Amino acid sequence: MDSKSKKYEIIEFLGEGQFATVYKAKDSVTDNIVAVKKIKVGTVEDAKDGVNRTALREIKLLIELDHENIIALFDVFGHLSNISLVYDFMDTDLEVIIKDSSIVFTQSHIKAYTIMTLKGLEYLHMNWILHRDLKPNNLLVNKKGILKIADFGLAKRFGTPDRLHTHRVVTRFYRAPELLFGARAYGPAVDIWAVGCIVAELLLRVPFLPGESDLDQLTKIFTTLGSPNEETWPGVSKLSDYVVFKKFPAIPLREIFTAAPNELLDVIGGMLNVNPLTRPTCSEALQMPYFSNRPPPSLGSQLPIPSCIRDNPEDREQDAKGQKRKFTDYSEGGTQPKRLVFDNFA
Amino acid sequence: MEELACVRCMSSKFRNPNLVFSFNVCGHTMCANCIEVAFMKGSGPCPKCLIPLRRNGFKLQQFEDASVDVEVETRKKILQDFNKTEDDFESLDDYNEYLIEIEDIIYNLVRNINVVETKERIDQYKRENKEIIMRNRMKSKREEQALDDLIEEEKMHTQYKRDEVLRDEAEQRTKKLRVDSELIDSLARSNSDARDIVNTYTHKKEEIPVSKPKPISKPINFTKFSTGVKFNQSSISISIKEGPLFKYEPVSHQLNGPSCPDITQLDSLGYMKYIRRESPQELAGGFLIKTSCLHYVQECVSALYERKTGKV
Repeated sequence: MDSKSKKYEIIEFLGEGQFATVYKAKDSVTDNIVAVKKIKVGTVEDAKDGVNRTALREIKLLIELDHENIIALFDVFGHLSNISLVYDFMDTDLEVIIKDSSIVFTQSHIKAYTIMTLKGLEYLHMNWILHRDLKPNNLLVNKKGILKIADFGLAKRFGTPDRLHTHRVVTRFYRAPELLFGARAYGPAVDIWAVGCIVAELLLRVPFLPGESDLDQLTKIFTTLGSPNEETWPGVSKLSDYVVFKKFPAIPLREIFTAAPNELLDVIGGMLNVNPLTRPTCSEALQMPYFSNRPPPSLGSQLPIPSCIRDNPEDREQDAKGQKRKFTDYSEGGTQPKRLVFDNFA
Repeated sequence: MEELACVRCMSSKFRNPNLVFSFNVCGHTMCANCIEVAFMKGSGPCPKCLIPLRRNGFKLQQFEDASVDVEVETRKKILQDFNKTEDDFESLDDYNEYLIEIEDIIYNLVRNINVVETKERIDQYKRENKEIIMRNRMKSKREEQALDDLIEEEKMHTQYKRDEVLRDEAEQRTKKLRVDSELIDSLARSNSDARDIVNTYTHKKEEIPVSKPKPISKPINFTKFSTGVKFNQSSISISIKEGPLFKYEPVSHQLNGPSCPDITQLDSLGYMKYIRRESPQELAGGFLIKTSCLHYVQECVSALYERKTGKV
């Protein structure tokens, strides 16, 4: 095992989060630049448990996956009681790109990002995996403009009846209403909802539904998209955490996204349908006219690169800042995913 | 040769060299006075061919033969739409075909041959090539912008250089003046020989450096607002290379086993017969029992065949 940890020469420190420290490193055999994620041991109890569960999930699922738009796990090695995961090195993530005010998105950019996300997600769902934590922050982008879905810490296999999942997943802003209502049997539609929120965020450049609490999140959803009833969402009142909401009319999407073409509004409207059964699947979404119509999606090389990387390719400090923010975000309120609670069901 | 004459009052250039002639789409020439009178309302028929004309359609005649002017105008108009460049074609032959077509259209329009049919051809072309037309128009606008920017930059540069030369000259003049006044001073006050003093000062004067050509520093071209937002940069060398349109390709599962029905076939093939229904809660949560059924059918058939590729 020791020989493996020596295989990777650490180039620089990229960032630190709740569970892990990330380094940029060079594979001394192939000369590839990789990202090494060193899982923290954490507390004494955690150490007693053995390997960190989120890391285990990530390893278990990622090792079997192979798709252009899914982050590749090259290698896993342990050193003493530490476990390290080796990934593709990705330059930035979609959140940095969205927040970079010097970048102007064209329709082609948005289409390209959406297509890459949906293609990766389609592959995941086809392999019976729910991601359960899709957000711009977890969509990594490299300098070639290729988007890859990352962070499988909350991902899980689905499609097994009677196996209940925890509903306390997905960062709040991107959490589907059925999860907020406490559904424990759900499906790929929760990921589709998150993609809908992300596409909306690409257009607005700010989170589409920034709820301050779970209840506020539901309020934000229903004031924007209209409150559900038994007709629009059969069975909603049977969900365990169902709360009756005042009747809000839906705001037409056209009024929110003034610059979006109609076909894109169809896509967003479909994905952000409060009833999970009426949301399209990834494959259905990709076949909607928006994606095959003009303008074509941007080629990878035309996709924007955030200024912190573009302007100072040498200035590592800046480079790391983008990444660091990414990891410190975990400790802040709003965008923090609820840490998985491993109750009887999960 | 026919004399250039107004079709209405018949006065010609020969009789009144100061007449200003204009022409309209029909190619008939009228003098400015007659246009004023005949088109008081803004529109009216051509006095010669009765074709309805608009007053602001009149253009100043540049050539002796009005038909040349008409052709120039028509060409301008047609080329606004037919603005493809050689880059838009795959081969030179295609481009040539296209150029021939343009010439045909212009010829037809100018000579009034098959006008209706030709106009249809133009409309059809416009419909089919709407996007390319728009794009090329944008492109030429951008190129113009880039050219303007270059000219502006050059102007700034020459202005800067001129200022520098003027400043140098003024400096030198003041220096010379100072030396002269010092000379007169010392001549007036000093006790030494006047010839010596004159000699030393002539030396001094010669020593004043002839303004050496400074290295021309380029004036700073501002491309950023104070906020750091860039402007004026996109003008040059943006070539929008569009990728191919997205085409959905269904992804197939590598089952390595007998083929599996897809989710729509489960019902008709009877797979769902003995399977429980979803509870209302499950349905509301977006859980479909069919998905699970498909999952298990897939699991059943997958990896039944012998592995051919040695992937572990």
